[in-house]
Amino acid sequence: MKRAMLVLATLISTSLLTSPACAHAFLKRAEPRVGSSIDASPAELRLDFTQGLVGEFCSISLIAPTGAKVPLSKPSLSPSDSAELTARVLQALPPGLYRVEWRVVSVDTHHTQGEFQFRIAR
Amino acid sequence: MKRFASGKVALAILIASPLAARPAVAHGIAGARFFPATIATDDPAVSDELSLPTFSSSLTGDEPAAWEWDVSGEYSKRITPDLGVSIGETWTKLKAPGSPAAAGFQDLETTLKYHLFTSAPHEAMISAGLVVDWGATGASKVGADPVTEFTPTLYFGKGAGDLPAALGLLRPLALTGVVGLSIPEQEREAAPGPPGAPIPRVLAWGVALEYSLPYLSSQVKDYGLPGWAEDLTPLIEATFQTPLSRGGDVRTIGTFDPGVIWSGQKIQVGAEALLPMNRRSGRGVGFIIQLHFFLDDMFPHGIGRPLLGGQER
Repeated sequence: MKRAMLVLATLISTSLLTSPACAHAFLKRAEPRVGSSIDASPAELRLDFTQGLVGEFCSISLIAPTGAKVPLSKPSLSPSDSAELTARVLQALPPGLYRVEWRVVSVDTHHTQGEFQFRIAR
Repeated sequence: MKRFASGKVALAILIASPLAARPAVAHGIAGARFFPATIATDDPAVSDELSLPTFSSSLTGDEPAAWEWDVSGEYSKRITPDLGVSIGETWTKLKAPGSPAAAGFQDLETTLKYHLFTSAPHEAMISAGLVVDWGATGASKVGADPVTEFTPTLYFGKGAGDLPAALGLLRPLALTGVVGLSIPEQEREAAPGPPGAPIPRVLAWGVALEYSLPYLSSQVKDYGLPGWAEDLTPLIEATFQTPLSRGGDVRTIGTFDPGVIWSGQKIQVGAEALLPMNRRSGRGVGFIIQLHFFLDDMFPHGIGRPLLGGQER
């Protein structure tokens, strides 16, 4: 019984103390916010993930109400936070409902993907 | 620098290879959907994981009803990215009114599970497996069966993320479930003299209806929930056992288990109430709690990776 408790305690402490970079990356926050309505065209898309990313293998797409892809800069990681992925919006966006599609690879090679919408109300 | 560069090349090859380019399934992920490891029913993912401990307390459906406490653990290991094995054991303590308590282990249970299909756009996943309950490996005084049972089982999961945007608040819903047919290795109980009582085949089935707050926040609408709340998945599980053949009582027994699961990056904690569906299934309200470890995320380069074939599908 003592040995079992020791194993369990070791597992719990390992899960709490090992590097948080070793896990799947899920979207934690985004700017514009997921499902939000904003008044003006955003200058950039900023996605904050739960884990560090490998920037070379991450992508962000912005889909206009017409279904066309909006030109974005190549996504890049924040120099101070490898979990923050940013892409600049290269043109002013007219009002409408936009869809952001993302696909990322965390530092331990796990793939994740997702999408969300935001509205420009103006 | 050279070492760093070669590491990046290796990573690029891994990611660009057809094997790694397929949707990831370890950890119960289909597209944007994460299926948490449910407590009463097994989820469809083939993963490296450990459920330890799972503790439950309930009143049995016997007459008179007995208190039953179970402490169990299950370790799952991927052989390949699609094929995994699990081994589970349960320690049970029973206490009936006016009788001394009985305690002991249930039969050893093993599972061989193969991932068949994942659709990222439709957030769907299907696996098939064989559960073996090894007879006579537990204590009969706590109800362990002397007969080995083989249960071919189908596991499925489906997220509602492909619903139209107009139904956005329903998109965090997901349904997972299992359907298995338990086949005893012998048709009758062993008994001296005349043939023993028939042992029925049993349909073992269950579902889990989940509402993922992580999915709501990251895919539908960010309501600014506190961080801890964004990791919660309220759910209701239901498990049933329906005897199918060989006479005897064919009434279904089962429980409805409403509860909540908190999923962190490496561990998960779940708690559910156990509500018997009828008198034969139990009395009163029991509960079950579980601590679960995602070994593939805790040790991605060690015991958390498949023995053969790389980290990801």
